Amino acid sequence: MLIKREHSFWQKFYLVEFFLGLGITLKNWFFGKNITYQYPEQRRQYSPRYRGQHYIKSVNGVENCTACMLCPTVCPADCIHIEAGEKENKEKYPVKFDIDILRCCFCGYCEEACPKDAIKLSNIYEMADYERRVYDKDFLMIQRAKK
Amino acid sequence: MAKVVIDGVDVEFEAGEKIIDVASKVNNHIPRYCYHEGLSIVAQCRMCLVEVEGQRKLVTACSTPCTDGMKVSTKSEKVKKAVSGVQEFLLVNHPLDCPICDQAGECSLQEYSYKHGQEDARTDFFRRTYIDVDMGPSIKKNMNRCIHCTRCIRYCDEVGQIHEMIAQQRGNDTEIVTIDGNPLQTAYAGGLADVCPVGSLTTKDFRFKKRVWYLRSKDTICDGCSQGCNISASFESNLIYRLEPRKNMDINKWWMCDEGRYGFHHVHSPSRVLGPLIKTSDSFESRLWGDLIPSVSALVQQAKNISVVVAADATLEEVAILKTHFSSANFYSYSPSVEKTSEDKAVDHLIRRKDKSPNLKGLEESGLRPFSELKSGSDLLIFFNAGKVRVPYGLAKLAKNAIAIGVAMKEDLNGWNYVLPSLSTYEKSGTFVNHTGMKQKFAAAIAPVGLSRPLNKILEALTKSDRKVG
Ligand code: SF4
Ligand code: SF4
Ligand code: SF4
Ligand code: SF4
Ligand code: FES
Repeated sequence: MLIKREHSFWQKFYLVEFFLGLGITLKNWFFGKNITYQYPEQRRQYSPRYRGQHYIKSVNGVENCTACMLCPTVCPADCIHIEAGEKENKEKYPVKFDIDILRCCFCGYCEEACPKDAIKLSNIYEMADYERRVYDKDFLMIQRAKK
Repeated sequence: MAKVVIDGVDVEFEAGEKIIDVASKVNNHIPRYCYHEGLSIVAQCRMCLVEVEGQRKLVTACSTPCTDGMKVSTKSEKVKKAVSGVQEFLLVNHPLDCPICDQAGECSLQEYSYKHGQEDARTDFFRRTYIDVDMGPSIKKNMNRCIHCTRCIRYCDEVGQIHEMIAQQRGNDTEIVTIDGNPLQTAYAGGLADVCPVGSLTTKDFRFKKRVWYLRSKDTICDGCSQGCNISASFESNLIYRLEPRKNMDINKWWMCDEGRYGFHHVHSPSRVLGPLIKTSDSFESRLWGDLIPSVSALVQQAKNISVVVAADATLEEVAILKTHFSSANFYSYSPSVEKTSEDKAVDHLIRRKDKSPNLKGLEESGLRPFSELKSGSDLLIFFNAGKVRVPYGLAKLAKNAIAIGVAMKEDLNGWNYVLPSLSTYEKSGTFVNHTGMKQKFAAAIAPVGLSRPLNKILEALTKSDRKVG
């Protein structure tokens, strides 16, 4: 629907309105707060709940994950691939744990589904790379945050 | 006919039928742990409690026979309270390690907890733990998860008919063990994983391979012996993960043997030949179907007398196809364990048979001659199998040229001019005739693996000019 607005008396002299607008721009230009971050020297503080690069929480070097497969089950992007195995001091553990990170949509469902507080999304958002990365278990075992 | 009223629904029953079974007829599933259709009744888990009008106490539905005009209530407040109480008691000692438990997803404890249990635990003391003793090659025990339903003990006594599992200690300390910690003797040990309602007994073969909720399953027939047990194959991404028995009261009832249960690994074996091979001077080379078909076709056309040996794991349909295609050839059946069906006999009290092939009866009925009548010296020998019967060693030497069609293992290749990969039982549909003469049709569970092709497509290509294998 077309809404017709009535212009006021001064608005009809367009040049007056133009200079008023230019005045606002110039005020921000000279006196306004600078909102650009000087990345990478300056960094923005994200909320602690920010969902960034994954890691698997470990305690004393042993991964919390028991390869229960709940995260690949819930993952909407189908990007987690786990192979389960058995070792001497742990009944079930992930022999392989791959996250195909380019498919990930950072929904955080995996973190939410995990019954073992194992898979986590850290605050790290710098994930650009020169190649198509698949995060393997060794990479995921780096503790990226203290969550 | 006599009638019983279950939750206001009239159900007919035959004398002696128990409430639990009669209720199932009208899709009223009464929760149960110790009751199993195929085992004797002990009524000790108390999960199936129901209220019967006129009786002061709740009764166990698994052991109470119906009487005419009986009024049963399975959902009254009294029943709900009792059942959720039983469930709570069972979980007092349960480790709740579902994340690492193979049963998760098909566990009665999970299911009934969800339906009848309480939301949270009211206990905070230590849960009892056991050290598990190995139970042999088939079964992995985790006693911490056991709920003492004794199905396993009855299974060994009544199905395996070897008294080898017992409950020792009592009350809270009860431990289900094999006698003296010996490995299981029964040839039906895998069934323990089926009857155990929780994750206490699971098979080692399937351990940690796949979470069950990923699996889909299709009905098929076991090709392990002439009994033809009804089974279902569970698979995901065209890979078979396990076989489970399916109820058929005329053949295998609820059971299957371990040999059959674990007898599918040849399908995905790394040594299975998955592409056509041609013999060269010192070894074998793989070719594409299109490159190979003309020379095979020429070989078949040149041959004056052809012998076709059909392994007894071929279906009736395949035998018919072979017979039409090689109409002038001599046909022989081959089973590794017996010569004729007359030699076939039961190996034990339950279902296992001596003839380790599923369709020898069918082959005989199709008029194939026994293997012993095969004479050496024909121009061309064609062997066809489905992998359960392996390619016999040295068979290729009986003729000038030899072609193996079917499922061959790399180590069985010596002497064959061509090896053309075809389908295993799980990749094809067909009909088997079991030892009693019962015809059983089955459908394919998974799609053909690798470059394997169905027999009819291969034989059609031999006569077609475009050399394409469909
Ligand atoms: S964040 Fe979402 S998409 Fe990414 S791995 Fe987890 S569940 Fe999958
Ligand atoms: S949900 Fe947690 S414990 Fe389960 S597989 Fe994923 S990371 Fe491992
Ligand atoms: S037996 Fe059932 S409830 Fe117990 S850990 Fe296994 S899946 Fe969970
Ligand atoms: S091991 Fe399984 S079948 Fe045997 S008593 Fe325990 S729960 Fe029942
Ligand atoms: S099923 Fe009836 S008492 Fe166990």
